[in-house]
Amino acid sequence: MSLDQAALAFREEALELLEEVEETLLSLENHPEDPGPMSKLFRAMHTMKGSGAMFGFNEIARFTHEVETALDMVRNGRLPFSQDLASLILVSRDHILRLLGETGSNPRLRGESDKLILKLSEITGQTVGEAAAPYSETGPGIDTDSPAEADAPICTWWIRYRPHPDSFLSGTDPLCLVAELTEMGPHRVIAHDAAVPDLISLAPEHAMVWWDILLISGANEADIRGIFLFVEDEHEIQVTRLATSVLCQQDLDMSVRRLASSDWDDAEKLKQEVAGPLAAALPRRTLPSPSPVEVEKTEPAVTATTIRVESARLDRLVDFVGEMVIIQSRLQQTALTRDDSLIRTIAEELDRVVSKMRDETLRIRMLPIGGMFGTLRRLVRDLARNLGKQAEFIAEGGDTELDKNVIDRLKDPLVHILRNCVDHGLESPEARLAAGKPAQGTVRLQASHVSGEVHIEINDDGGGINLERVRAKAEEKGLLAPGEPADDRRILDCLFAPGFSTASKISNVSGRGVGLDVVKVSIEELRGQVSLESTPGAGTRILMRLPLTLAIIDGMQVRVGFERYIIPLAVVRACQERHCQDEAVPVDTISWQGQMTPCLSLRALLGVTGERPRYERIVIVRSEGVDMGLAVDAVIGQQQAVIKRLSEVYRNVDFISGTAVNGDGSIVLILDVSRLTRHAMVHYGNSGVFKRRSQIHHYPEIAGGLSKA
Amino acid sequence: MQDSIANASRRYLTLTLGSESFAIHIDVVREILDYTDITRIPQAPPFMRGVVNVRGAAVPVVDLAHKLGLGEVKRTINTRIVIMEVSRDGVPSVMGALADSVREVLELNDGNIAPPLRMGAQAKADCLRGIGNHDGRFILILDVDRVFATDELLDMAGLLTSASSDADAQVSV
Repeated sequence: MSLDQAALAFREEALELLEEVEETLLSLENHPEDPGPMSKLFRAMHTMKGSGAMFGFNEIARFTHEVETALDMVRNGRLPFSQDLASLILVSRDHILRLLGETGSNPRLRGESDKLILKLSEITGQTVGEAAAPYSETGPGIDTDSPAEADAPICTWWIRYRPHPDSFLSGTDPLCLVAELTEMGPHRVIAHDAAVPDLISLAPEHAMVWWDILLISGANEADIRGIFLFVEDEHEIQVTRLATSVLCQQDLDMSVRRLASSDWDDAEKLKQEVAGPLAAALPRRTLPSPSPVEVEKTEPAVTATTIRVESARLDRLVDFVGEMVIIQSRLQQTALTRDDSLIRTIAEELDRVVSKMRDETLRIRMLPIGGMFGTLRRLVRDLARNLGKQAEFIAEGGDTELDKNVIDRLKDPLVHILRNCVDHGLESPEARLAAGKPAQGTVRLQASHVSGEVHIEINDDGGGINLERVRAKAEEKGLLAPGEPADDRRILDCLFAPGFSTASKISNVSGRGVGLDVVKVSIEELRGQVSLESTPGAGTRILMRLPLTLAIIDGMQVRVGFERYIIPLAVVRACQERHCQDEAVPVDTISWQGQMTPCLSLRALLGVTGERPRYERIVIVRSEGVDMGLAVDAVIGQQQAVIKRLSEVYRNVDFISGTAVNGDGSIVLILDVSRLTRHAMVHYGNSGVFKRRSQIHHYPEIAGGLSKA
Repeated sequence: MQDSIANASRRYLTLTLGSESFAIHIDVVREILDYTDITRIPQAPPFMRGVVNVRGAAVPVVDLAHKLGLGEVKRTINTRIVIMEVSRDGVPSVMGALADSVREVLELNDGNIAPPLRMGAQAKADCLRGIGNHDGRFILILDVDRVFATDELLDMAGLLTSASSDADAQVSV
């Protein structure tokens, strides 16, 4: 995360906190006796102070510190909670909001901070100096604003500005200059339009109006004159400092009244009249009075660049867009059958919009995976510390985006894998040094987009997996026959079998026998795949491949009898066909790439009624590492399907992973091929069909799991 | 205003299953659809007829007659699918009920509703909330939350799954 991103994250967090502050305050006004909200307020301010200082928002940290102090006093019962305080905190909240919008330091806002701090100190009863002391916990790494800026006093300026009558002709809009001036701080503007003649003699291209502007700002005279830099020679500008402080409402009003009734030529006299009484009155007031700031605020309000939306709402939106896609395709189909070019054009245009809209909508749900890196980093660190190991966690590709639902469900598997890495993978520092590796182990997580998929790779530079031990365990568990020839991959696959664990003693970290099998199941539920590689002595690599989104899949639609099903394209390897005569049986064999391959009849397995055709299509799929044929009546074609979950009442239905809606509005079921495969393996595994192709581990545990999954 | 709310809460939609009239509290009814193609879900019990597309959502459809032990709803010109929002285990969910026909909306005062009989009626008594009397006609009032209780649906589904896997046990190669 770069510093900019960190600052952005802080800003977002702060915006949320401020919102919370506002809500809490308002509720507190109704129930002042409740201590809960007060602590919440305090915590919000405290967080903002801490994070603000950390990310270089020094002014916020300084200011928030004062608010926090006041809240702390209330929290500890040293200060009664009053309406005044509540309003002041609300004003402070608005002020922090403005501070958030500043990137650099802004002397005017600093001045306002000071004023608010003064008011706070009035209520808390602390001396000004103490309360306004800059936030000291920021540490040496963060420097406060430069002294020059910090010392810029807030003054009240009187600017008299008369544009040259021909200024429009030279391309200068006097109003722009006035507007620019008013951006420098709270202000009053008096327009003198006495010189504007009757409509009949009005020359619209002449500027006839002149202005008096009272400006409260930390800017100096040069800053103010700077605005008029390019027009100085032709236009008349007078800049006068009325007071070296902020004028109170009353004084401002008085000055405005005096100025409003003045002529251009009385400038000198006015200076005496306005500045004189002020000079006399001001020393008597030690504190600026309440609200010179209540002049229209012109600065743009900071708005959140992100909106937090309930995810259920997004899901509904995705649903609606899905529906729209379907209706659109119906329209398109209808349009094609009509000989009406207008309708066709409309359908085509709609098609373009709808497909864009679908992409955008699905993208809304995409979140960067980096959001969970913090937790994972913490996990690795804590684990390593508990186990007396040294581990560094490196995470890359944090900006890789994934569907929010995928991310939510990815966390547990990742935690599992990282635990394994640190617990089983990395060796103790001594063992590492002995093996010629640095004492500190590295766990590296890389996320990336690879051709429409997201790959998440986790590497550790630990000892790798002891194949001999895995093998011994696999034989013990009956996953491999003793002495059965098996390559490394095959042996590693055993690690994903339910209840498999090589850790000889159960630690409180991992090795309870649930682990990689859970990971595999979770990833498969996300329609992903997980694989594992290991180099003895050099480390382990786990690769997870995930679809970008859970909402849409590419599928192949097939027909069985009058029913239609979608087979996810990701598992489809090829299509074949064959003649057939007898009744359909659930499982038989076909020849595929010169091998005897099991073939499931969807008709028999799914209980489809109707006659079996003489000519069957067979879709070859690969799932669970097995090639298998699925016999269907016909292959209809490839399509993108918007997946809808099947209702909860069908929880016990195994073979269907979801539904999609066809162009004609009918519902089509999406087959869960890996469940089908497992079902077939469990029920027909001992028939010899699967064994012939070998390599199928028959897990007795699955049988129990399937019937009541 | 108060009055109209009270009235609404006494309104029932009547429908027929075979020769019997049933009533459903109007509050749970979302809409009534003509019969459309129902996509069968494999492995589900026969009274779970499948799913229909209700504006993009796959809504499960239960054959009410079958569920209540009154035979099966046949497809006729009068066949309707009543889409309801029911609460299953406290979670609101949308379900469809297949009925031979849908009749009318009528008002039944609580005074005209008797507790369900333990025997006599053809339908299973545990799915009934009471028996209403409307102008001398008896109408069985369904407790839709009971009809669509998840456990019951799941039990049936579970039974069927185990039965089917027994049947599958004969293997041919």
